[in-house]
Formats: sequence, structure tokens, C-alpha cells
Amino acid sequence: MLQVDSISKTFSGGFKAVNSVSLSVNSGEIVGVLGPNGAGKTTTIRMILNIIAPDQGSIRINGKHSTELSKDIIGYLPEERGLYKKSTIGHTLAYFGSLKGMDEKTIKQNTAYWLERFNLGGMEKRKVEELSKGNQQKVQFIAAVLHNPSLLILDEPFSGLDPINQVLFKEAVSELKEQGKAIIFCTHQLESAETFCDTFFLINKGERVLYGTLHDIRKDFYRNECEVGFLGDVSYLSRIPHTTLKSVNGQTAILEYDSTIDFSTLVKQIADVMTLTRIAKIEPSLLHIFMSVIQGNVQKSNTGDFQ
Amino acid sequence: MKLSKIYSVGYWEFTEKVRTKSFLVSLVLTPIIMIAMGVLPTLMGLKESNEVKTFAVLDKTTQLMPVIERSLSKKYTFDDGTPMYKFRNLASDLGSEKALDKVRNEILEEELTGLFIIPQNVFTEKKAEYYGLNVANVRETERFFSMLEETIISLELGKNGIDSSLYAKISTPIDKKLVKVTPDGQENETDFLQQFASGYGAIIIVMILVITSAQLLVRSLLEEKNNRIMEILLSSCSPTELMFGKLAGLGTLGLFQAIVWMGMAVITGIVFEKNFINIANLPIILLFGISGFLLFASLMIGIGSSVTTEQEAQNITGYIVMLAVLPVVFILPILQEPSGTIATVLSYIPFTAPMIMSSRIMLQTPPLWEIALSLASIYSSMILFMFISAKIFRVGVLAYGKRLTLPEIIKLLREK
Repeated sequence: MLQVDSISKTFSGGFKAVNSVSLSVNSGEIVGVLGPNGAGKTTTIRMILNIIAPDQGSIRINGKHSTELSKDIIGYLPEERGLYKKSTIGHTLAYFGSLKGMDEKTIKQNTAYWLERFNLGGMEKRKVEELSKGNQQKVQFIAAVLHNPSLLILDEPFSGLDPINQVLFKEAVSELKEQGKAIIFCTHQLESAETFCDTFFLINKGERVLYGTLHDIRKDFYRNECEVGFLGDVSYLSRIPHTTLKSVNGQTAILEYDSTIDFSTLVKQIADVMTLTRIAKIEPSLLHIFMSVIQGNVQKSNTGDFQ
Repeated sequence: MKLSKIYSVGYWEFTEKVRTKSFLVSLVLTPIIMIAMGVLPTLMGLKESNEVKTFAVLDKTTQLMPVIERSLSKKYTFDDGTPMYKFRNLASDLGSEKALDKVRNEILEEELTGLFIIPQNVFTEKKAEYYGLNVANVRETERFFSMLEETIISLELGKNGIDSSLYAKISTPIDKKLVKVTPDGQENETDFLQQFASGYGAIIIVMILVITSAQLLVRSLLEEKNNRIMEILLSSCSPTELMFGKLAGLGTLGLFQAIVWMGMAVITGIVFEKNFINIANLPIILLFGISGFLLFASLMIGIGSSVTTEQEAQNITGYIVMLAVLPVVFILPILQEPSGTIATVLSYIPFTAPMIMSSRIMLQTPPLWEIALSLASIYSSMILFMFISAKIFRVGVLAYGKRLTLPEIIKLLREK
């Protein structure tokens, strides 16, 4: 659906905001775009949205070069929310819809559907400023999906929402995914990204530092540690060869093992000497991966491009 | 560039702004305030108070005052027929100073408006005096003294054997009729006030149209920039479409406003039976109004997109508004000589042309080539400004929190 091929953007001050970044989003896929503030997320998104043009590289939508016309099939929920305060919900949505090339009838139908869906049914004539913050967010979300876009870019869609509305939004996004929309999901909330996204894209200092499915990404970050639940004396555990006992908490211990030893062999060795209630490899969390990559990068650039 | 997107933006700008209370209030209030400012002082000056004024008179000749009093009470009466002025004759053997002493307190306490003294030798010396608390009430003294003059003249004529009714006949003032020549031969009677109202009105209407719509433009841009609605808009249309859409929408709004005001002026004209507006000229005045709006808006849109706060915007737009107000300074020379050098030069300077030309068209329609040249001057500078603004707009609308500096703008303009 979306093919971004080594795009770069340097701003007039000589600041290289994005450097040769590639990514692709398929229909029915949610790609999480992660990165610290100022990493180049917004610039990348603006290039995909055709708001600014890349200096190099290409952006293809459905195989065709992205042009002004592509804007009609993209929906965008910006991170910083903004609506016309004095206007009514109905007028606001009609405006955004018509800008996307929708006809009046479809606008009316889709507005009614989405307002109903977000428990705002029949509130077309209410002014935006009369709504609660959460409800304003709903209107903004509707503005992004009203025209049934094939590519949806959501920048921090869940920030500032109460738990009930978060569930409502998540359901809506999952439903759009089921319908085959390609979705880009920018966020700082790594826990929600972890459960929500199919593919992850980590950008830092304008460069892509990680890209792939959670499984792919984790591969490089396994620490050869496992969590062991046991019965009996912990001293047996410390005597297992090629391992180091890192911590013990009651009947649970964290055990680090050499890469020379195979996990299944390890399980067998432990089971031989004591009663095992539970054993699992420790999966690196996204936060852990995120931190180590970003911090690694910082160190690299401190020594590397010192000017 | 897609027309449908420009239309969407324009439609939104027009329908949302036209619905706001502040727009409706200014639509109705502005002409009322204008009329009030123009007409009320004149009306108030003309209106007579319905209070009888009493004057003391010392007539040393003893023969003049009965005639004057009779004539004045006949000529100046209230609606119900009672005379406006009352006179109290003082004994004619009183000296001037004594007479003044006698009535001084009454004048100071405003029981008497003043004291007229007609000396014995008024026929030869032609001198008379008035003492009052307020000597600026020209109307009363003028009426009295001219009646005094008339009385003296007719008495003198009578003494020389000439019928005094002859004097009345020959001294009747000439009734002046001022007719404006128009190319279509439909000459209409007019007077200075009407000329003034139409010439001045044209300038003011075009000026307010230009200022209000251009400021609305800056405000709407700023709102979208500060609310970050700009991102949603630009993810749906191009900056150029957005810019032209705004120009179209707010231009239509200005046009609507101008048409309403002109309609009000025409109705006022009909009600007061003063035909100070030549309806045939209205379309071309609207054309100049819209051209003026486009010119100023093309400047404002560049400014609006390069600033980030209302305050910065006001600082800069203030200067541009001053440009638009400039023609008001030249109103008198233009009214006196609509085809004079000042008027002609100003109607080719793009910033003053829309207002000055509209005013000239109302007063004394200039030849077509002058109108065309004036429009050409407006539109050529408009295209230049629009080109510059479009470049600033593309970058400026996404520059949050930081105003574009002049070097940055110059750099932008140099880029292809």
C-alpha cells in the first residue's frame, strides 16, 4: 500500500531531519513509528502526507508516485489536536470531508455513523467548544476517518483519553485494520504499541535504527536470561554449570546462561537437580530495546561525528 | 490545483464568518455609526431649540424697533405659530452703559439672552451693538442685524420716494440650482452635500471592506496556525489551494458586505429623497472594492502566515491599514477637483487607487482608459504580492512558535 524508499530531508538551516529512511505499510497492517522527540517522526509523516517534499527518495502509494491527489486517500490525526472552537461538529466534519473530495450525502451518512459509534449521536449541531476534551478528540478522530481512507496516520491517538475511551478508540482502530486499512501509528506509549502494532519502526536522529516485527526485533536483544520457578533449596540452582544466578526472590530466580549452552539442555539440567514449577526465557520488552538502541546511538554519535 | 478544493475552503470561510455575531453586528452597526457621524452633528446644529428667547433692546431711534419686532415675529415662529423671540424695549432716553447695568444681572442669570443697542445715528454710522453671555450664537444675532439692515434700507428708500415693496422684490436671493452633467444625459439636480456624501461614502465603503476582510484573513490564518488545524488542512489540500480558497471566501464576504451597505445607502437615499448615489456606478465601485481587497489581502496573507501571535500580526497589519486609510486625508482636494493632479496621481498608486478611483467615479466619472490604467496598476502589484506571499505561505504556515525573520523570507524568495 505505502512504499517509502530512502527519503531524506534537510531544512534550510542545514539541519538533516530525515536521512535515507525507508518503510512500507501493507493493507491491514499497523506499523508503529516510534522515536524520541525530535527524532524526525513528524518530518517523515509530513513527507508521507505530501505536506513537504523529500529532497531525495520516493514515496509510492498503491504503486504510484504520491501526488497532491493522494491526499484524498490518506487520513491524518495530528498529535496536537485542533478544531474550530466556534463551529459546530456537523459543519467542521462537512468541511474536512469536502476537502477530501467527499460528496454531501456520503459526508452526512458517515458523520451520522461515526458519531453514533462514538456515543455522540445527533450532536451535529453542537459547537465544538461545548464538548469535553475527550469528545473533541473523538470528533478529531472522526475527521481523520470520515472519508474512508486507505492509509490512516494516527499520531498519539490515545493520549489524554480516559480508559473507557481508550478501549473505544482501540476497537475502532482494530476494526479499521480488519477492513484492510494500512495504519501508521506514532506513539511514545510503548506498552500500547507492543500489543497493538504488527511492525515496528524506530527512528532516531533522522535515521532508521530498527525495523521489523516484534519477533524480528527481539531476536537481537535476547539476553540469555530465564526466569525459573522452583521448589526447594536455591543452592542447587547456583551449582548448575555455565550459568550465573542473578537474583532470587522467594521461589523465583533469574538465571543467566552462556551462549554455549542450549536452552533445552538447561531446562533438563535444572529439572535433574530440583523440582521445576516454571521456566521461561525472558523476552526483552520494547522499552528495553528502545532504551538500549537509543542510548547506544547517543554513545556512538558522541565519539563518531564530533565536529 | 483543484477548483473543488478552493471552493471547499472558500465556502467554509464564507459560511462560517457570515454566521458569526461579530460579523452581523459590524454589518449593521458600521453604516449606522457612519451615518451618525456624518449626519448627526449637522442635524443637531440645524435643529432649533423650542425655547422662547427674550432680548432687551435699547432703540435710541424709537422708530426702528416696532418694525423689526413685527417682521421678526412674523418670520421666525415655532411650529404652533408662536414667535421665537420676545423683545423688551428699554426706555430710549437711557444711556448705553446705564441700559447694560440695568439688564446685566438678568443676562448673567440667563433670564435675558442679550441686549441689542441701536444708536441714534445708526442711519449714518451703520453701527449697532449686542451684549450677551454667549456671543457665538450667530444665528440669533445674524437674524436681528439683517432685519435691522433691511428695515433701515426700506425706510431710507421710502424717504427718497421709492416704494419699499420694490426693495423686497429686488433683494430676493437667487435660488441656486446645481446640476451634475453625466454622459447619458440624465442630468440630476445635486448639491455639495450630496456630492460630498457620495464621494466620501465610496472611499469609506471601499476602505472598510478592504480593512475588515483583510484582517479577517489574518485572524483566520492565525487561528488555524495556533490550533494546528493547519496540519489537517494541508493533509487535505495544497497551500496554494488553501490560499486561493481563503481569498475567494473572504472576498465574497467583503462583496456581500459592500452590497448590503450600498443597498442601505440607496434605501437611505430614497427615504430622504436625496439621490446621492448613481446606481449605474455601483458595479464598477464593487469592482474596485474587490480589487482593493485582493491587493491588500495578497499582502496580508503573506504576513499572516509568517507571524505566530495576534500581537505580532497587529503590529504589522497596523501599517498596512494605515495605507488603506491614507485616502481619507486627501478627501477635500479630491472632492474639489476630482480630475486634478492629486486625484489623478493617487488613482494610479496601487494602495490608494481602489478608494480614490471609486470616489472619482462617483463624483465625475473619469475616461475609461484612466479606469483601466488604475486597475492595471492594482492588479500588477497584486500579482507580485501574491507571488511573494505564496512562497512565504508554503513555509510560514507550518512554522509554529517562531516568526519568520526578514533574512529567512528573502532566502525563501530566492529559492526556486
